[in-house]
Amino acid sequence: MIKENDYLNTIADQCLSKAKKLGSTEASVFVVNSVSENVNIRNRKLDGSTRSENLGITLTTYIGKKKSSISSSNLSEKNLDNLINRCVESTKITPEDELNSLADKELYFNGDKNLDLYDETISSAVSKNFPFISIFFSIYCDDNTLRAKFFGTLNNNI
Amino acid sequence: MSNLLKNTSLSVNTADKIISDTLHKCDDGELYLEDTKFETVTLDDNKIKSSDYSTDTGYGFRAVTDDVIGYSHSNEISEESLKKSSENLKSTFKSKSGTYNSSIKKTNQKFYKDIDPIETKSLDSKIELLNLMNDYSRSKDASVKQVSASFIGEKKSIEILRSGGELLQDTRPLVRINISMMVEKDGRKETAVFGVGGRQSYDEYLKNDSWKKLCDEAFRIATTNLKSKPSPVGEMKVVLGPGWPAILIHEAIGHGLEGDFNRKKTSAFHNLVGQRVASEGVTIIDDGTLDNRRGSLNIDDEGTPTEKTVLIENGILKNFMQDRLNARLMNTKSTGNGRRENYKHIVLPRMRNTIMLNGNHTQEEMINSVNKGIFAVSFGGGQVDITSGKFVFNCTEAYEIIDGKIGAPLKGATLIGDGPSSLKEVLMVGNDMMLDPGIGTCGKAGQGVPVGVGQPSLLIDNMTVGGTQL
Repeated sequence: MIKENDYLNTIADQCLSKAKKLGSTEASVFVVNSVSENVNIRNRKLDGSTRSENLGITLTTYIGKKKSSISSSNLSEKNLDNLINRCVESTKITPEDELNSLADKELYFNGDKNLDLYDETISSAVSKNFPFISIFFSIYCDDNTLRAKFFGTLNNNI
Repeated sequence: MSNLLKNTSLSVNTADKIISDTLHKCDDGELYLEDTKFETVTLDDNKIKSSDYSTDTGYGFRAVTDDVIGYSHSNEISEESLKKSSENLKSTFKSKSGTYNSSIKKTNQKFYKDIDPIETKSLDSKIELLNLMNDYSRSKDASVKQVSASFIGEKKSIEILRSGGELLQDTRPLVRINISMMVEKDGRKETAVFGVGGRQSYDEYLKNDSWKKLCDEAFRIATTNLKSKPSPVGEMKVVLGPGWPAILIHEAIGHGLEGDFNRKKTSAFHNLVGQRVASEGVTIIDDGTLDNRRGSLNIDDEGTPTEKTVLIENGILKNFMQDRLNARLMNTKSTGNGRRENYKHIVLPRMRNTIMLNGNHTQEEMINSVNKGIFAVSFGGGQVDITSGKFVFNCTEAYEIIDGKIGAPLKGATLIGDGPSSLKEVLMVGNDMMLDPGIGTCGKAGQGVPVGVGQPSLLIDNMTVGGTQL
């Protein structure tokens, strides 16, 4: 089921603060939630239908120039705790690479330019406790709108 | 008892109720639950480049009636989510009704151990070994300019809950160790890749310093190719080496024997059961029951136990590979070939370990019998058009054969042909059957699944070689 942005926000914030507590110097987190539906018709006959729900998180932690990442579709607190631990632990034993780091603070888009890219159905936010950044995506497609759209397209073909 | 529902808010009873309520008027279907752990550790350019770990949990709820498939998947295992899926499936099948056949044969067969290959070897020791492989490879010769190596491990637990409360479970470990090398000499660069893997712990592949053999083999192929010359062009005899070159069989024949293409009559083989489709002496099987092999499965992704399916026996086409849907529509039984990449995908008939069995010729005999031809030892990738069986492969290690002797290594040789004709051009089948080292992933309809291949050396009479010699 589609999640509220607040829920995704909270998960992202929790991950970042846990990673920080465990000793990472930088971290980025990406939380995705999407729902899609798909109906196929072949030779005027129903061929099949698919509904996809996706919920996922990717966390990358840095300790200086060391880096490691984890991802999961299980957002339970216990599982995330476990994974964040694992991520930071493996960051510690990964050798340094001078190219490993988040982008410099000045390079992040700060909202000054209006590029007319804002989509009402997608919201994004950048967390304040930099250098920890967080990005969320929540795409909501109303089932009925989607169905109408798919059948609309199909009608054109028949 | 379901293990995968244990830590979720969904109770087995509720799940059973929703499943039965959704599927009782359908021909087939199930709730497929999956929990996967995945880890990759990669060394590149003298450094550990990345260590990634991921877990994925979810379900795929499938309902089938006639040839219509309704599918709904989610990675939130909850009553709310499952009910939403159920509604979707029910509305898909509103005006249809079928007969649910709930019986699935059960066996206690086990072809691999229930282990977690990621945990059985510590990250530290993986990193240490990757560094050893790097150092060892670079110390072999000054021509070795670049080395990358990786460990890829997975543990996948699946459960299939069918209408009526039936539960089937499997836990599948899978590992792969890979090395690739770039060598440079006198301004010429060549690369080679070698790997091993299967459904057991990493250590089984690393015993007695056998990781050195991986490096040695990659080095051997790369340095051989440093001396390669442009490949000749035209129709000629081809000797295929044993083992991995069987991807030619996988592509050119295997895909054409999958149930879906034959039910839809789009395969070149659909009306040829019982007829001669290959030279005498050619027997091809698809076997899901080989111990610890990459393509082996205790049960397929619909719960059907895997088996050794004879596809072609002594040149005569015997069987297709079937999942439950295509088997039902073709009035036959599933051969345990129903597979899916993960819970996000529908089941399709797919290969497991596809193998040509031994004949009685030696490789030496084959090479001696060729005046002008090529000896193809290893392939990179290949592609096939299922409807015609037309394929193309590029050789990563090949040699010319002149007057019955192996000559210089060749660069850029490709083999072109079509499956049904090439099968009839097989002149000799070797006695040196070998399985591939455990590296193959087959892609179909956007889904990748691990598979194995195997064959003895083969002499093929007439094949088009696309070369680089102008």
